[in-house]
Amino acid sequence: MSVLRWSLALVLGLVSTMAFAQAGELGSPDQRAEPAFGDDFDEQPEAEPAEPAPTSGEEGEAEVSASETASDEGAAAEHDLEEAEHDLEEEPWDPWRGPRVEIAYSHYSLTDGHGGGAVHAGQFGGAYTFGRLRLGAYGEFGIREYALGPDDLVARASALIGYQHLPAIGNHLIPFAVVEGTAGAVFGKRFSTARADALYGLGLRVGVDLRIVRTLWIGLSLGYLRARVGDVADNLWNVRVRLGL
Amino acid sequence: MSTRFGRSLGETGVSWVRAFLLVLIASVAACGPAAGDRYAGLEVFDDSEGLYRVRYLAPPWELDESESGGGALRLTIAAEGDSLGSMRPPKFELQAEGSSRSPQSLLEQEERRVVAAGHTMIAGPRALTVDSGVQGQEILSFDPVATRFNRYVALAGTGDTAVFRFSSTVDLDSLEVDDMIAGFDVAPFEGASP
Repeated sequence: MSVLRWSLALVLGLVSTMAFAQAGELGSPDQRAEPAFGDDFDEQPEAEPAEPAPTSGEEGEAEVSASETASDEGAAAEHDLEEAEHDLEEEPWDPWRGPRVEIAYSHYSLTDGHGGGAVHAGQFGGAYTFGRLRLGAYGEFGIREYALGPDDLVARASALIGYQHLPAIGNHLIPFAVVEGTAGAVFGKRFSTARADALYGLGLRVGVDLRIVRTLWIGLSLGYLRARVGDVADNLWNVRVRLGL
Repeated sequence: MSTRFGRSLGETGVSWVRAFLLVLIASVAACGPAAGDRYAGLEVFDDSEGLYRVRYLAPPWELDESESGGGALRLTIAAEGDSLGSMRPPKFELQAEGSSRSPQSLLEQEERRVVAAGHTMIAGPRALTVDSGVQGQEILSFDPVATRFNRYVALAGTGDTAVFRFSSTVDLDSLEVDDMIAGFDVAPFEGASP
């Protein structure tokens, strides 16, 4: 099971690295069109006004005019740079309109009646919003500790519908509360014989999404599910950590 | 619901607070024995003569009704691809019956039988105690000819002794079998039958 944990951590790390690398390429069309940051700007030598050379007559006047033009261009570039910095610092938060995907780690307990039952699971899913209405779904695969034998495999799918607070608090935080329904199965071995138990439940989940940069999110939520596993019912308190784009 | 929170949500035409409360009530009311109970999800077989009680997980255990009753019990787990009634020996088998002899006498007889049959003694005779506090003894052995493991358990009741015989192609000295034996009981039973 430790291999699975490290695998999940590696996947999260890879996705976050890819997201940060891609985040640098995103931005408003205006910013992309202006090479105000980055190598393009740095590689352009700042135009310095040329010192007028002591020449006679018309040549001297032309050279003075050219130096004045170069000086104006440099000042204009510097002004554009300042405007771009200002825009980036006060980038207005556009309400998220499109679908969003996320990966998550979840931890909860499916009591096995013998002291075990802890589940560590990886999840992949997405969400969509219609104003304050929040819709989501995710699939999950996890390992459940069984105290008397080999660990079990948990596979389930969940759907969520609920409310999210808009506009974002402080331009970064969006709290939400949703109803969650889940269905799936627990696969394991009892007395060296394969066995599968149906799992289904209904409950509530509250959490918050934190915008890190551009469209990269990290989320934390706590959920409660009243679930039935096979012939027994259980209370599932679930902690979920999400990384999304 | 005319609260500030309800009004802010009213744009969608849904009373979210009521919906959340209904879901919470519905989810809490989900039926079924609690998963944390000691014997949650187990089937119970009470001897018709009132001597012993066996709790078992079904599936994979199956009750052989044709050979159970009248003081006897037979549970099996079929070999892969087989079903109850197959001619092949089951992967796991449990037989239970009552005896008027003492556990000590029964264990001594079983030990002599194991040695005489050329079986390998794995463990025992050793003492054991089940969840209800009833004490007994057991012997674990291996039959090299049939390649089967055997576990013989005798629990002392107030009068007779309940005898349980496990037979399997898998080692019976395991946590799962220990836990199943811990759920056995002999008369008088603790509490009502679940």
